[in-house]
Amino acid sequence: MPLERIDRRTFLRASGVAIALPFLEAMVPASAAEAKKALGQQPRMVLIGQPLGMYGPNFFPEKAGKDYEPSRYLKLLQAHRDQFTVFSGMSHRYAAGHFAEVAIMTGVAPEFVRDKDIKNGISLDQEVASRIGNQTRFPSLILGSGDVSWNRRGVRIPSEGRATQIFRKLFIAGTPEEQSRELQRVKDGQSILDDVGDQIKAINRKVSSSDRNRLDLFLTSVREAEQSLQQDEHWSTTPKPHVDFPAPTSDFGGPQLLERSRQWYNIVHLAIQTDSTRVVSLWLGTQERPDIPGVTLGHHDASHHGQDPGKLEQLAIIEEAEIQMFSEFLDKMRASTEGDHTLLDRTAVFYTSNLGNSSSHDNNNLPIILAGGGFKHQGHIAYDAKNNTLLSNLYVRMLHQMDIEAKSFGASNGVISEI
Amino acid sequence: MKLPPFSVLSLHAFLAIGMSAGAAVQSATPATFEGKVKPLLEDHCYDCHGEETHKAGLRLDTLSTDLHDAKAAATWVHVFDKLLAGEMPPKSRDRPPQAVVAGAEQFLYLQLRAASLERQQKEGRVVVRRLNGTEYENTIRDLTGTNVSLKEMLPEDNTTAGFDNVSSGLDLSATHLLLYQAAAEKATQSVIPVSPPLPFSDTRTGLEMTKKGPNFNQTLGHSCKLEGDSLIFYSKLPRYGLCMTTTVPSAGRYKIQMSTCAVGAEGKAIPAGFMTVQESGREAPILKEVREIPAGKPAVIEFEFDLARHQAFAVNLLTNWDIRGFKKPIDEYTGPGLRVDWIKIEGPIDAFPPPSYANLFAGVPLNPKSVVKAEAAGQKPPKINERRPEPQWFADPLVPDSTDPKPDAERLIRAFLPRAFRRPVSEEVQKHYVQKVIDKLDQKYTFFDAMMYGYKLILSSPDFLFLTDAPPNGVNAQGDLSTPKLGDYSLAERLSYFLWSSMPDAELLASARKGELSKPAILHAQVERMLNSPKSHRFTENFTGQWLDLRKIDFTIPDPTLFSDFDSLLLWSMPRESELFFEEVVHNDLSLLNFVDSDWTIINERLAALYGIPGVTGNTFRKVKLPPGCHRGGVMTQASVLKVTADGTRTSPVLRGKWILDRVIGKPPEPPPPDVPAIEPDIRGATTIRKQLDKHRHTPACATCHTRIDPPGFALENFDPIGNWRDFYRVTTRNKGAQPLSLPYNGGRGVYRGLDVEQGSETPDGKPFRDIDDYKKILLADKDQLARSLTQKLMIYATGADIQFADREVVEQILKDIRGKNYGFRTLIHEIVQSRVFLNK
Repeated sequence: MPLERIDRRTFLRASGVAIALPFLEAMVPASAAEAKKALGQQPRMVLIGQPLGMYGPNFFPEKAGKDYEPSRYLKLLQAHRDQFTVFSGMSHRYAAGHFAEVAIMTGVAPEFVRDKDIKNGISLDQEVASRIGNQTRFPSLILGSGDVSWNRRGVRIPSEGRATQIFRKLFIAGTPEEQSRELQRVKDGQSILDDVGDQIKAINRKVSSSDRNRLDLFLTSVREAEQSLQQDEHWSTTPKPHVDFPAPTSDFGGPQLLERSRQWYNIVHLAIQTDSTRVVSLWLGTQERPDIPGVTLGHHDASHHGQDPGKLEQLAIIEEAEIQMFSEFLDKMRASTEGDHTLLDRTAVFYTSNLGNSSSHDNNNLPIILAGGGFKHQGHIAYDAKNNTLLSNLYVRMLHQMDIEAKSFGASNGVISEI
Repeated sequence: MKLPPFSVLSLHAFLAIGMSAGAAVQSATPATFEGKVKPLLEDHCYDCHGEETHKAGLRLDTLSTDLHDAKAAATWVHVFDKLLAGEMPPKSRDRPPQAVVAGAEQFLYLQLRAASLERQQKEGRVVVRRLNGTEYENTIRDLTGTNVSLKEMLPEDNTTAGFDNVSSGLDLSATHLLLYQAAAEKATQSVIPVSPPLPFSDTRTGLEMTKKGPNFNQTLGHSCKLEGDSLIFYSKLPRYGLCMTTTVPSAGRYKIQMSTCAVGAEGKAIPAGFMTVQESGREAPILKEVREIPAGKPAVIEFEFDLARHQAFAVNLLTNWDIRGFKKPIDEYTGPGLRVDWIKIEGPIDAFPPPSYANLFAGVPLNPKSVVKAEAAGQKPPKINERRPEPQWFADPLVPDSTDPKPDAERLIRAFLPRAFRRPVSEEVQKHYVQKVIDKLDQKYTFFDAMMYGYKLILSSPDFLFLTDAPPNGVNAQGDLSTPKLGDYSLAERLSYFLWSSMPDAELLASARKGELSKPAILHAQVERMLNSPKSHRFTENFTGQWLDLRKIDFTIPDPTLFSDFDSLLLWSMPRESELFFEEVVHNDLSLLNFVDSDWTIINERLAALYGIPGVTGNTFRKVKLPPGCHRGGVMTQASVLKVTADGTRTSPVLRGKWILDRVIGKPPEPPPPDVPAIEPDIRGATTIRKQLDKHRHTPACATCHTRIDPPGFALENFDPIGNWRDFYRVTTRNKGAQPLSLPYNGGRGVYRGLDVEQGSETPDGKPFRDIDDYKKILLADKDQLARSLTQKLMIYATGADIQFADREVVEQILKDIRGKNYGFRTLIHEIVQSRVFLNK
């Protein structure tokens, strides 16, 4: 019903101002979700993508269902066969080529995504961060080189492309001056809120009864803001987690696709493992020629293969390397445990690209893998390659798995219920 | 108040709301709810709204008659309105005797009016109002003198009764409170220069731009070319390869010069857009100015722009020129284009320190942070080379550094408070804030940190953030106002937030101090002064931005295939026409009926081309007399309104009809029932929209509303989503025998002639109309209703509260007054300001 989408912002505005109460240690679990949190079983989400698609015939299995024959690429993931689902026939149905990257995680309707022009909505990672982000030191991490994270107002949130910086923020204690400044900011904020609260109470005595009711509501907000600052204070006085991992010394350039990706995967794993954040978006890939033995073409050139067998083989080498690194990431996530579960069980790991067939800049039939996260994985779920199922429907399902009630997300028209 | 026995207070007021005199019945005996209303309800209403059935969720037999109960009162208002409009009881049922209806109406009117008025007198109409994001940003800018942007940091505001300054919708979340602190910090920081002026100058030729600058690989030789050192471009350049300067190392105002001219066989001037770019290729450039570049010899033109650190200046074309379809070598192309020989940028040209610095730190010297730190520690301060490179200054910026911190802090805080709170501040309150800052100094905060804390504290305070309108003489023990009349300072605030969307200036405050602002003549003179000030453009922007939805002008992107005749120049021109039109009406006190129909408008060449009006050349907007038969005039046929009421690809008579009912006629339809799916327009072009909407007319449940909604929409059906007049639809599916359309600049993509637009419809009361021209005549038959609609909207916007029952008589009185004055719109503004609704809390 496209005509009504004009009013989407109105809806978001109405629903956008509420913020969740901060997580306080003394809080009594009030629901199943709360109980899970108290047991340290918080769900997490990692969204991974790259800009150049995956060559379909090498990626998608032919047969649907749990007993699919693995494709060339999926052979590399067979160690995790029961831990993930691969989807075919799924997309946002865009027609914006490379530019569709900006909406891959937001899933807004196609008429908002025209070449070089976008009216965006909130991205999946930020939706989650806005609900549960205040429970960790970092509400979310936006890593790599993409333009995939957007706030509720449709404003792009810049990503951090320097692994060295992120590692420092996550795991290295700030200088004493940085620490005391942060503490001063929090203390000043608390003192300002105290004064604001006192003043509202003073005004209360001077105004009429309907104003009083309104000011009482404002006082509630003052108290909530105070709790939020207490949370900040908690983090600024809590030492950062120690990890047994050498601090990165290089951010790696375009050609070092393997080193760079592996470094990012390691950092994401550590960030999740230390519960520094529960939501990560990570944008990988390179347009340049990656330093991989046997690769002589740039990744972008190879992706425009035009069915040239030589180029296709070059592309396959690069894409196999990408899948291989993804597989190693799943290894790590499975090797870490949390209670009776692996970290992968707790973490929905999602992999995709904004291009399906990059040779023709097609945004349909995207390569999609969803791993871990406690889903009932189904092997290969095959939707219609000609009339794609909306990827946003899967996003709705992923929100549910994060204990977030959502009827819709982006331009979704349903929810994926098979997993 | 329980509905008490009827006592005839004033029939006059009731008559003023438009009831025919014959229907009013004088009552000799005291009236009661039991006597006047209940019999009507029992005989004619309870069948559908009684114990058994509650049609439309309404049950009347148990509805409280206590009008202090806001919810019950609202329901009674609804009942009253339905009775008065003759919509209830429904026409299909037995009609109650006219005298009975009139008696019930009269009784309800007087009781509802009395209850509403009593509430207004005791509690005020407008509950405590928070500044919305726009007002917050404007206020901070006027207060500090910087052009810092803060609105984007804050959550988006809710809209209530059509406007985002209505107090009941402006909630205050914890997020707001935390972000206000961050915003105050950003604002305070923004007045402090990072370094002494570091002169910067850079000149780039066209050739150098393509070499050093952004990426021209894909455009050079296709849509642009080099000629010697000059760059000539024939099409809008992509954002990754713009014709631009280098980025500037520090924020400030810069002077830009460029040598340029238009090229092309026609020898015509070409409008070009001048913009700022933050991160070339990633962020879209922000269009700041449109200027026409003459053809002929290159000439040097100049600009002054405020640039943020690492921003650049860029120039681009705004229109689509059809070089894409040109298959021969680019050197043979003779279409219009822009030649740029070179661009020079130098600055910053601001005073040092900028005037805004004095607003927060008058008389306080600036020193590098490292020096301040060393001094505080009693060490020898490092020697700083003023000419050191800019990154070093950013690592060690200037900060205000007082030699006499406590007296300076006291002086600055005392000076700032009355400006921030928009009124005199008591000694006790001044001491409170001064002490807070002194405490921080005692805690060994640096002078700057302590002042930053003080400014954050003041700018987070309810006295800054709220329009409290607390009565000067307080309230009694029950919390009732001593007087509903606004104090002078509150009145000054209400005026300035109405007409300037910001704080009062010194003159308004002076008038308030003298206690004369509420005198009618003074008030009139102040309103005149304020409307004549450039700051009143904020009123234009914010009122028309919401009334006419101009804020939504770029919410949708027209389909590039179907509407290849849409371009950035048109998008830029659209809201300008509506704003200039509005200001023309305001400034000349023209009749507000011009908004419905006019024989003039204010346009430039681009809009004239869209409207098919000959003889308008150049990009300058000017007042134009509309030729007969052009189907324009008034706001409804302006391209801006036609665009915001469409979705970029399609138009819908339902959405446009609803828009006209709401924005022009002032009788919005009730929202659709929740379980009814909207009719999805079929754009393949096989079925007319009228056939698709026929369902509405033939389903009784839909028909009640859609016989009202759809006709005005059909009146606009001749206008496409970008404001073109159309006799037929454009489609991308080729139906049998359909002709391909030749559209400018669409690169040969298939667009075909679809079905013809079926013109005309008829109003619910059976008046047929052929097109929008006819329809406007029908609307203008009820001038009072058009004026009533706009009066209500303006009153809501002016006061920040929705229309309440007791306000109705004020609206009617104003209508009576402006009717004899040709419905002058400026007169209307004055009438509202002088009315009880505006002058009371």
